[in-house]
Amino acid sequence: MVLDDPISPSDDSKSAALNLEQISLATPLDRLAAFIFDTLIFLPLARLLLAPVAREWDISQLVGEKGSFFVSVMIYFALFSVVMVLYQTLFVWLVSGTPGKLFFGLRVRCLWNHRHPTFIQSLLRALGWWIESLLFLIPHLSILSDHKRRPLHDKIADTIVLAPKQSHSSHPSIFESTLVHIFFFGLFSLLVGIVSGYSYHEALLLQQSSYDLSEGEEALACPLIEEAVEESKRESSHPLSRLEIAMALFSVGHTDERCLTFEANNALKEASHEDMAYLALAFASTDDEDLYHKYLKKPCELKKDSESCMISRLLSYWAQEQLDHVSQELDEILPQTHLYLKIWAARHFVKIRDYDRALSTLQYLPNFSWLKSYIGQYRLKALWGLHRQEQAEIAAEITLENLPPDSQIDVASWFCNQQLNLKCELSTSRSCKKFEDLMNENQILLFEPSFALTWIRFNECTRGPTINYEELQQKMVLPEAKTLLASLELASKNQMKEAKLKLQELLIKEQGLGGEFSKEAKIRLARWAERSEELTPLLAEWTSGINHYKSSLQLGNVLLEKYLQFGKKAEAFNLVLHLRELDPYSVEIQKKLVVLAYQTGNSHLALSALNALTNRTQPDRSPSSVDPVESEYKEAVKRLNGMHR
Amino acid sequence: MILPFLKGVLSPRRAPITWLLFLLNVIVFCLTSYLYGKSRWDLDQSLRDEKYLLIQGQVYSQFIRSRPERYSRILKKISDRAEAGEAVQIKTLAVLSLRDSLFFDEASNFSYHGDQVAYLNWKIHYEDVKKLQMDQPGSLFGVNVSNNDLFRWTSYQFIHGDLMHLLVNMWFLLIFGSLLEKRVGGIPLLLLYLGSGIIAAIAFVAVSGLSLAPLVGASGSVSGLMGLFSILYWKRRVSFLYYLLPLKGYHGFVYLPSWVVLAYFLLSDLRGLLGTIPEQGGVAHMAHIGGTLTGFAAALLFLMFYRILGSLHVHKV
Repeated sequence: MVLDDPISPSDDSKSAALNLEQISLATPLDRLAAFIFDTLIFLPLARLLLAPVAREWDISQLVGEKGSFFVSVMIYFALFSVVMVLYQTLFVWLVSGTPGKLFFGLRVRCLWNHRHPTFIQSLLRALGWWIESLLFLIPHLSILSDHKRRPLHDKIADTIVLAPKQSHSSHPSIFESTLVHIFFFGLFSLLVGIVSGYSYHEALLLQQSSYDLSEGEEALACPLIEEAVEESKRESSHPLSRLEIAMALFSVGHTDERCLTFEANNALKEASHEDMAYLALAFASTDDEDLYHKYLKKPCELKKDSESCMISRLLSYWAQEQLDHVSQELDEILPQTHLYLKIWAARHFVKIRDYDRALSTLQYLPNFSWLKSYIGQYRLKALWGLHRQEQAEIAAEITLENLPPDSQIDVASWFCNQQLNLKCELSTSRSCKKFEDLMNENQILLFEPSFALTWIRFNECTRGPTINYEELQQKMVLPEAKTLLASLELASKNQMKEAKLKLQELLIKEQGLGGEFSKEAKIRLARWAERSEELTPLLAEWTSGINHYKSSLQLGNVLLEKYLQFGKKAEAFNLVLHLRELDPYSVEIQKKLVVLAYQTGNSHLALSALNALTNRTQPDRSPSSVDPVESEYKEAVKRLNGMHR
Repeated sequence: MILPFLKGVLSPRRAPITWLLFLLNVIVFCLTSYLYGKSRWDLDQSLRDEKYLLIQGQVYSQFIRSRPERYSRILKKISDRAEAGEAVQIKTLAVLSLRDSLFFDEASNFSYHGDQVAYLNWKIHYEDVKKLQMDQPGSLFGVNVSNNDLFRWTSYQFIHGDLMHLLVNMWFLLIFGSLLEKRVGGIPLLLLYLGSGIIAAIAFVAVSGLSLAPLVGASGSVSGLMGLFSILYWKRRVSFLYYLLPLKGYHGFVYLPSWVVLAYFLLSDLRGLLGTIPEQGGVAHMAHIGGTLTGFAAALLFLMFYRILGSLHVHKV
């Protein structure tokens, strides 16, 4: 270690002159090494001095006090800066260099007279040095390019760093200077590029702000409970409990498991509504079957005659798919029960196609702002299920108007699909137009199977025989959608065998998932059937799903049409009996039942079906599709009326 | 990088006890490193279940609130925020609860007010986690408030959590141990090594409160050796190895007074003690300070002993 001053060894006073023949400029490597050395000394020292602040910083971070954390960080930074500047100032002023510089024999001197720097010079130099260091040390690099190895802080303070004379030249060569200038230019270009790129990225993010909404919504999920509680207090003389509102919000998908769990845990801690809290926890644990059932048991363990216990029993029936039991229990507790159960009941009745009860249940729901879109969607589904087409269209319009933009696509897609399945001419309906606009705005929606299927159907209806399946296939992102379109393309070229094979491939891929594409593939396979034997496996599978309300009405109708087309009256009769159970509101099905019962010799059944039909006042929404059997129906009615007399 | 080098490492023939201690540490590390790694992995896996962490945090939060006099201001503040439903603080508490001896002993019998289904599930899982914690080499051979006996005061000195921990401690052991062994003899060195370790463990336990975090490693023992060295060779300049840049002239040896060693490490430990909160393991620095103070005491005894015998002579380092 060179602690004696090699530049002015006999220096007794701070104004002593230098022996210029023995000194040279400090090399960049010497200064870098001195910097590393200083860091090894300074950092532990500064950390010791600032340890109490660091401790507060740690505490605020651990406790999660963001304000205190920020203040601690700022205080730490400010104090660190003070210590750093003092370290530099005092060492340079007192001994002409920091310990690192002394170690390598370097000395800081005045530029003009090579004397010890004054306190002001040392302070200015230290401040400049620290500011340059904060800019990621980049300004220090001018040591490499400046003729006298003086970066900005030396220029501000009129100082220079000297070292004992060395054998090699300490001035930078032309090559070295050029290299450094090229480096600076490159660095500047890079910085400009990064800043421009960042600005462009920010602009893109602003454009795509609709994608970012989801995160914001998630963050607002819990405050929504607060708002709903306030609304309940304003709107009702008997405001609902906080937990009940949380459960209702969860039932309509406006809040997540996290918030519901939080509310339930709070209720349990306060020992209020414990039975209901366990129900809420069951709702929030549907992804873990074991836990779900443990939570469901809990309300009955607490109070056997409580309403929560009854609801828990009801949910067990639901889980075991004993849906008739569910309906019976609901009859007993509606309309006095909790809000979330009414919401859930409306959904249940729509699922089991009991649309009348679904509509009456929806009437029990209060008119809260957050519940409007749910009521609208389920009223629409119920009206459509009841074959009240005009009312359903009005309901769809009102619902679409009231829904927030990101929820409109669900309703528009569902209703457009239903309409297009009825007849292609409805592709100009308002919901289909809305659906088309939304899809054109946002192609990413094609990731959702139900939207992709509606989009395919919409294109088939609007483009007719001119449809380009290949072009549509390229736009699709889901492999299942691509396979379906490949099959449709083959079918359009009359390569039916290959087309059916593609659909079979799709069924195997989606086996067990019960996905949307499997349903569509089965419908298409039934439509393309050339012999009744091809329908047999489809019918068997469809019949087995009836009791669980899993069978698609659309597939049932297609199978019925095909059996009628192949002249298989017995199979068609059995099928129509099932269809009547699934869709008791359909006049079309009733008429077919009358005809088929009459034609297969079941005159009593035909008569009772006819009576039921004549008592109905509702018009059927799709007379065009029953046209082929209309004459047969009239004939059957004529004969049955004659028999009856 | 600046490291004390002194006279380098003396051969096993000249410093047999130092080398014996070194070998013992290395052998124990080889035997326990797999077990350490596996138990850490298993514990880490079992703590990945978010539902488990959340309920553990909530149980611990209630546990803290039920015994406010036993817990620090920081833990009570975290508990307040956890009660307000802040998930980060609940998870923080879940992790901190693993270090709490009181919770470790009493959690199974604690009456939790809240979701009883989740609590029962948690209890089953917590027993597994406890077992994993107990089976760690740190718990088997390390020192903490629950495992605090003569066997563990000694055994912990030979257990290291990771390779870097071992390398740093062994460097200092070889450098200081071999030089001191030549000066004070093998048996006194061994006694100092073990004695400093024991005092370090006692100092650690004295300040660790309810913490279950075990103390492991030869740091306390080595601090004792460094303390002795600094007193014996107070003003003598000793060599330090420095390595600043991979170029000629920027690495080599520098001669500094021997007290620099002690000052540097004491400052570092003091910083650790003042700057790290106990909940994050700050008390481990107390073990180093305890070890160093033992080294001081041993040095004073050693000097008195030689003065009494009138045969004090200072060896050249």
